[in-house]
Amino acid sequence: MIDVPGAPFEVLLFGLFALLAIFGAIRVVTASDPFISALSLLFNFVSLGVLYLMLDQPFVALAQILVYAGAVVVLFLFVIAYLGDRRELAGDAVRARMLTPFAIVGSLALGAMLMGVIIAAKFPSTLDELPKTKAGFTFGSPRAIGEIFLTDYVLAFEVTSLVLLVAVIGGIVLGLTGRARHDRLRKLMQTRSADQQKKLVEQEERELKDRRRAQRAGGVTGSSTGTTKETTS
Amino acid sequence: MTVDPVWFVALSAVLFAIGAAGVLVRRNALVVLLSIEIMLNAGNLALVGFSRVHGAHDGQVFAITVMAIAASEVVVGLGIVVALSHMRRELDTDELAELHG
Amino acid sequence: MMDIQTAAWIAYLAPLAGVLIIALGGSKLAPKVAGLVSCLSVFVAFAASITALIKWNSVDERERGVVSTAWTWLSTGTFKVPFEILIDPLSLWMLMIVTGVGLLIHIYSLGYMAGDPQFRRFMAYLNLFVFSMLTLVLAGNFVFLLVGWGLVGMASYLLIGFWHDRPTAVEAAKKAFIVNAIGDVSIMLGIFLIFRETSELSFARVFEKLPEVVGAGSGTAFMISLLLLGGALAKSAQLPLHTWLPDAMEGPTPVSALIHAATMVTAGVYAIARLHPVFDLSIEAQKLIFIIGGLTLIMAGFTALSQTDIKRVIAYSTMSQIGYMFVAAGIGAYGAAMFHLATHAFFKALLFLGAGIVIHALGDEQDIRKMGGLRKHMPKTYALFLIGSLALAGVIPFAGFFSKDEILAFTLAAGDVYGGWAYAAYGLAVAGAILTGLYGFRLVFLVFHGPESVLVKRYARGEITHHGHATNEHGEAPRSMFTPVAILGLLTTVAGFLAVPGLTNVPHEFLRQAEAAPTREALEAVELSTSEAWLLALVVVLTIAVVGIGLAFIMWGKGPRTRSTKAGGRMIAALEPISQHAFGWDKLYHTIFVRPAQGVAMFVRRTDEVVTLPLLEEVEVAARQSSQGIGKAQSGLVRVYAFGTALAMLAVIAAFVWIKG
Repeated sequence: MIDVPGAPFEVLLFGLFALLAIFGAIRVVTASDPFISALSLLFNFVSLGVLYLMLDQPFVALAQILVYAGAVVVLFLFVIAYLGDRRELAGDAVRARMLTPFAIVGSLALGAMLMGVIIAAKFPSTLDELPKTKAGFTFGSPRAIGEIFLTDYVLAFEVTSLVLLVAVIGGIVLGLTGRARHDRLRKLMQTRSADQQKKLVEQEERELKDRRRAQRAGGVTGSSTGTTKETTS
Repeated sequence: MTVDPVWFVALSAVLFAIGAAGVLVRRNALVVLLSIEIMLNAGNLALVGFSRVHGAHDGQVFAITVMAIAASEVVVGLGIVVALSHMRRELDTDELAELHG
Repeated sequence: MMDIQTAAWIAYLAPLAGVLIIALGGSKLAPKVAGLVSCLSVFVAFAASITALIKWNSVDERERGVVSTAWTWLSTGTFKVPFEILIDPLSLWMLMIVTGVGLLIHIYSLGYMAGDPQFRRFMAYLNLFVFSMLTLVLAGNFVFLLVGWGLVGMASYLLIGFWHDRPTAVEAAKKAFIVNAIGDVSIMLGIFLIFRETSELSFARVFEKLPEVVGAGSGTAFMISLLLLGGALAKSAQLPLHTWLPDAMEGPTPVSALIHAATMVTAGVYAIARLHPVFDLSIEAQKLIFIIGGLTLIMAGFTALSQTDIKRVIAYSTMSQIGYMFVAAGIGAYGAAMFHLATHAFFKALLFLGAGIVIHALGDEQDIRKMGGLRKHMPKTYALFLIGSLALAGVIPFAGFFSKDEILAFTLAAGDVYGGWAYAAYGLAVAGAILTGLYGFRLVFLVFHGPESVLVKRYARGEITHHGHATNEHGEAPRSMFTPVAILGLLTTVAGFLAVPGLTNVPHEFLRQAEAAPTREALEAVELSTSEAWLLALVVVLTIAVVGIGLAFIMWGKGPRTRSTKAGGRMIAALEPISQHAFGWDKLYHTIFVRPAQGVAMFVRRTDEVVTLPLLEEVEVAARQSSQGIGKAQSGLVRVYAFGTALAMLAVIAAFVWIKG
């Protein structure tokens, strides 16, 4: 992508955004206010987006910004704002107190090991000429991604759409609150035919009438005891 | 490309470790979810890096799919968090320990 | 026009179609329809087999038989086992008998089993049996012979135990199956040996190759023959695997008629005839065959004298007559054996079905001590039963005479080849013939002659009812039952003339074609001439028959137990227990096999109770305690779990790094 001469420029670019990404990540993990964490995550995402651009993959970079930075982080922010102030009590881990230092050590070890593996591994030499796809689209372009998605990985494509659908439904169901959720869930789970619906409506009206009549009768006599024969229509 | 893609992959390792630490140390459910996002992105970075190395699109396609899945997972995860808060529960993962043996 | 293969396949598959239709129709089919379907399928089979018979003439004379392959059932590399049927005179002979007699019995069953709540199942099983028997008879290689062998055993089990809420029936079915299983193992081992020697399984090729690789008279030949014989003995209820046949009478009478008289029990004889090139290789085995046949026929005949159940008498009679067939097969007179098989099928089925009419009429009574004087009230049945008994005893002009005559003649002539053994067999056969007349007519006299018993009087008055109707309402028997019996009576009368010595020689001529069941060379001389052997046999048979019948008349003619002399009475009293307990074979087997098996079973059960179960309980307690202990490690804390995962991942990566260097 970058044809601008001057190798150090790219190195600088990489270094800058790599550092920003790491910084963001650390801030996410260490901030006590979840709001700050979410914003740091935004930092991280955008930096990564730029890094993707550096790797000659514009579409992925775009998706990163749109989906992650633009949707996921926003969702987080919404929820955090909705939930109000839920600051974590600092350092009051009552149970599993010993875990924290071990966890940190473990993570460091993990990171070190991965680094070691990467450094020791033999990578194939970087391609200078990036190959075009079968249909002749340039590497990393939206057209190329589209082609791959609709030919080689069409199954993944379809399944992913299904997963998204399921997530949407899950989100809705989880989001229903209290009595609204109860009623709505009940209604969702009952399927009635047209006549059944009509009968239900009639029954509800009848009950309403009875209740009103009882109220009026109770109001007049003062009590609702006694066997007053009611002629039901 | 004068920056060897290896560096990108190395960066992903670092980010992954940071995310892992976040998951293991923090108790706030939201922060845990955020840390998971970091880990996912680290994975994406590695995928994209390798895609560049081999000149194949598979990595990119995989990365995009991961994005979609991660988004779905966030939706559901946050849905659970919201439901929990409606039940007036503490969002502390140490407190939410009912699945014990 | 149809060719012979198609006809044979239709005959073979029609009963299968019958079973499937009835089985799939289930309770949606009215019983009448099911009965119709089953009879129709066998009728189609019979018609097709007649067609096949007619078509046989158009087959090239030099062929050994027509082999028709449906498809290759098993194929690995160069070894192939095709699903093939062999059509030659022998299989056509059996085909006609099985489908013909089978058809008559199917029609009979419509009447006999009418009203039974499981009528459809019965008819389906009958069809299944016909199909199984046809598999056995038409098989073109050893594999499908075995398949048919096993299927027939299964069908027999299902039909003996048809009334499965009767414990005696269930026991009998089990017994039949187990004894047959022994035979199955034996024949299987024989087939394995054959395969090991020849690497072939189809009949034609085995018959060609076996004499080359296995020397005549060698130990291997004897072994193979012995093992094959074992299977035949079990299937045909000959010594020592005979104990299941009397008990098999627990099944409905049509079953007894079809399976345990006409067809299945003759499978052993068929097998010996079909596999005769194998048996031709071992004289010792041949001796064994006819000796066993002789011993069985005497033993069975003697036992039949004291039986009180009408069906058991006929069952032992069957055992005895098959002994005759074994004698004939052993000496190599295959034509005679098969001829006797055919005539026996006719008159034995006649006897059984006639007995079925009597049983039905008297309200399911089978004890002959309760019968007597029935001929006044069932004259037609009496006449037919008499025909059957005369044929059994060997009285001219009925079929049994001619076939028995042949066997005796051949046996005597076989003395040239086998020496003393054959003469011994001849003596046994003659004595057995006396016994045959004796027990056969004992049955006739006790059931039909003499003073009327209480039961018979009740029948006459119409007091015995079946499904609400008096049993003597519509004559002696419904038409569906009577007609087949009458047809069998006719066949018994005329079938004999197929082999009048000096005049006709149909069975031999027919079976000799394609080397299907040729009489052994040494004996060929006998059948071609009207030599003295014939005349001697003629006289002998007739004399024997008259002697037997006469003795029976003296002893039982005027009703039960009219003994002539005191000495005779004492002798009978002494011998009777032996006869009643069938020479103690059941007891013997019980002591040798059943008791030890039960002992082992008890021992194992005791061990289980004392040792195994407490041990397992300990294991259970230990497992539960340890799992509870481990359960304490599950804190429910997500972080801890995640940490565990992370650790595991570390370990895996480390392992990878270490292995990959």
